[in-house]
Amino acid sequence: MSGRERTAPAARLIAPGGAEWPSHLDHLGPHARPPRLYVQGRGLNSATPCIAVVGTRRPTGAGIEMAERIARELAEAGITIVSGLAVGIDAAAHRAALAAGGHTIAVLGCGLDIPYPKRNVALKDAIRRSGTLVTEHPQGTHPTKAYFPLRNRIIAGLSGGVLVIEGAITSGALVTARLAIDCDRSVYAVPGSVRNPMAEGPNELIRSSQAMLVTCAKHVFDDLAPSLVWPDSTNGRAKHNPELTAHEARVMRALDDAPLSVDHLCRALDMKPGLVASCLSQLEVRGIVARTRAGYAHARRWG
Amino acid sequence: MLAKTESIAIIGADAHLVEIEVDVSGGLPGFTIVGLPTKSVREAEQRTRSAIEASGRPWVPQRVVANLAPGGLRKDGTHFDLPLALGLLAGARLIDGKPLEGWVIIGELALNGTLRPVRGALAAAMACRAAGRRGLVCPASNAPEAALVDGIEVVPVTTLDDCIRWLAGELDKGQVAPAGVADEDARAIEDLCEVRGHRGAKRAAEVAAAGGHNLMLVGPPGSGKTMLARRLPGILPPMSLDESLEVTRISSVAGMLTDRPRLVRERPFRSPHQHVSVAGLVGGGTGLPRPGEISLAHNGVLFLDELSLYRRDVLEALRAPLEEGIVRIARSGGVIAYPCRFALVAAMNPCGCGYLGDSMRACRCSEHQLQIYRSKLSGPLLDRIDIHVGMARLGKGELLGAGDGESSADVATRVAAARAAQALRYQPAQLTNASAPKAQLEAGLELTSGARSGLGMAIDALALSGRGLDRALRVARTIADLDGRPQVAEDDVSEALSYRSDHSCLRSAA
Repeated sequence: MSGRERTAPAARLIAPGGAEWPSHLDHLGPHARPPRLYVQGRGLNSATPCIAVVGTRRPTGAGIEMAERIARELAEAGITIVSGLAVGIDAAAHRAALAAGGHTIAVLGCGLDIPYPKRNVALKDAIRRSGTLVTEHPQGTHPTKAYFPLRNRIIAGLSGGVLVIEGAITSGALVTARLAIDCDRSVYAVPGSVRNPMAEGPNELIRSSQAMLVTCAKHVFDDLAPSLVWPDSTNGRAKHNPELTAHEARVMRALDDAPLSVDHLCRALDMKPGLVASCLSQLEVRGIVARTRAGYAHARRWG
Repeated sequence: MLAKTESIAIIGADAHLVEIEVDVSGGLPGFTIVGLPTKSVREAEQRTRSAIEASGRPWVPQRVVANLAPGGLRKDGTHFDLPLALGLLAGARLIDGKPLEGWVIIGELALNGTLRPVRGALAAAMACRAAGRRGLVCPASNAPEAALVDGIEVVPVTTLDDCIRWLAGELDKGQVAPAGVADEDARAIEDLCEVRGHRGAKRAAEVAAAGGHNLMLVGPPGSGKTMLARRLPGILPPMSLDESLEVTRISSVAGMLTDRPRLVRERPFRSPHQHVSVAGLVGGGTGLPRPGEISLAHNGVLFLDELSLYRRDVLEALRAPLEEGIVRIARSGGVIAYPCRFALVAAMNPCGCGYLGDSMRACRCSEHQLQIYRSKLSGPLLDRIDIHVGMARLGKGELLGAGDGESSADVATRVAAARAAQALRYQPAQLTNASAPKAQLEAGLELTSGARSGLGMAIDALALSGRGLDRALRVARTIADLDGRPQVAEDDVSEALSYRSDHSCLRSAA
């Protein structure tokens, strides 16, 4: 075993009826209840509402952004983010939840000690430390194709609802959505452009009335946890928002949620490019503006 | 009898004097050249023999040994034909060897005795002056190039016979007019005001020119990256005479001036193709290494379009030359150094499909594809590019409207003023904000208190590394220089921060 494994919290074996056993897993409809779970990291709490955030392994930039935004806001609102630790949407959701200081559960299709998927090994370690890893497979079990649908039933089973961000019609994310329907869980889907092949899955779920159309975290929150209170982040933001100079305020008004180029801003504002660039940096340093590869946009919490 | 003549060996962009001893004696007829000659030097035997016969002098089979000294220096090139032929004739007592003294001789012989132009005439003339020789005897077509160097005589000769008669005092060669200043190149009329829109990128180009910073242009296909890059030499300050001579000398060594000898006054603009080899880019090749594209771009601009399409090893080879301004090519015969102080302008698409951030077409790349596209670039190379700027595709208002903005001449005036401020600050004066050693940069860097606190916030908020901070300070210094301010203000720092590499804002999405 590597040093990484030695310093990690010990794996626990939990069984149905035990104190930590998630009672949701007793209600999986036609699907078999897992006989036991191997768990590592933070303890599981059946009282905390969970949402599964799933999607394609090959998302678009917008898909990643959406997954991050919704996962972060839900995590901040106290909801646990469940996903499958795959690359793409899954990883984005886990990361966002960790970054927001929330709880995230990664359900694996292999043993706890198997470094899979390779690209997410660091993320797996981070979840081991501040989230929870869950699997029904003993240590040393390598992933095989057949394990993934089985893992998906645990993802759906642990959660009160499944949110599908992006996925083709054949995507495993849709398998999870169907499992969720079998288990009588809610399904949410973020719609996308009809030209985006990765939006076909969620669009189809919405078209066939299997999923509720959601466009932001609050939609999910209100349906999933009506008894909880949505944290009003706008008040907090107003306090943080420092006074802007006249130029900065102008730049701020010209900005949008979609990234804009410096040239566009110069043109729209008729300001010197050096001044626009300088204002944007100042706003970026204060966290009000985000720089993306495509240009500048309001930081996510703005507006 | 032993005769002596003098010629040169081109090593890198420099010419070194070579003494040629020719011993003609009795014995088995033969012709041996010693002193590390390459094949092209050894082949002089055939050319000189035919040329001597064509000039009407008898070739008597004798034992000939020619020694090119210093013996440890590799000699390459065809310019040894003429000095060898003259040494041979003097050694065989067919001409008087006395008048050869004090002259450096270069020239390639045709079999009929006429002279062909050679590479490196300007470098030869410079070596000639440095060594205090009387003058240079060279093919007539090389003479205007050599005559750019004052303080020496340049003797243009057309045939071997012509040269022999001049040595005998039968001909007066008179004065050679130095090569003219380069006629207006097509490039000179490419003006910055023709670039529509792109105010941000034009500003970035101005800052890059003013501080000697390398520039990265990121934008979708057809957004005008190449157009802007081609106009960068036009906003750099004009070259000094010394800089011109350096550029001309390298062009001369590369054999680029033989058909049109001239003093190169416009800054070079080189844009090697994406399939260029390491040797093609930094110099090398078989025999004695030739200058590469980076040396041909010395004092000018090296433009690498579609940076991600260049081979990675080729880009990696740029790192040391970018840092040092000189490229050293090690060969068994020794190390050859070419100067290569150039401004690097790189351009690339924002992603594989080219439309990331485009307002008219959606990008079809997955996050994974984006990462692969970016990861092809060498991080250390990107680290040496101070200014990164995005270029969006133009809207129809700009495409159809009249050209806008300032002319190259207006911008060049500001750039020249900023460069002058740097020349006063740094020692030696060629240093720029981009290339000055850290100690000198810091000595000339006075930050206002606002700038200092702004930087403090930026380090935390943007997770700025030490290197990132250093780059931002250099660019901020240039922005203040463009404005003519001795102090670096907060606005300068924040503008500089906006030019930092967006590699740092790569989302760590899987």
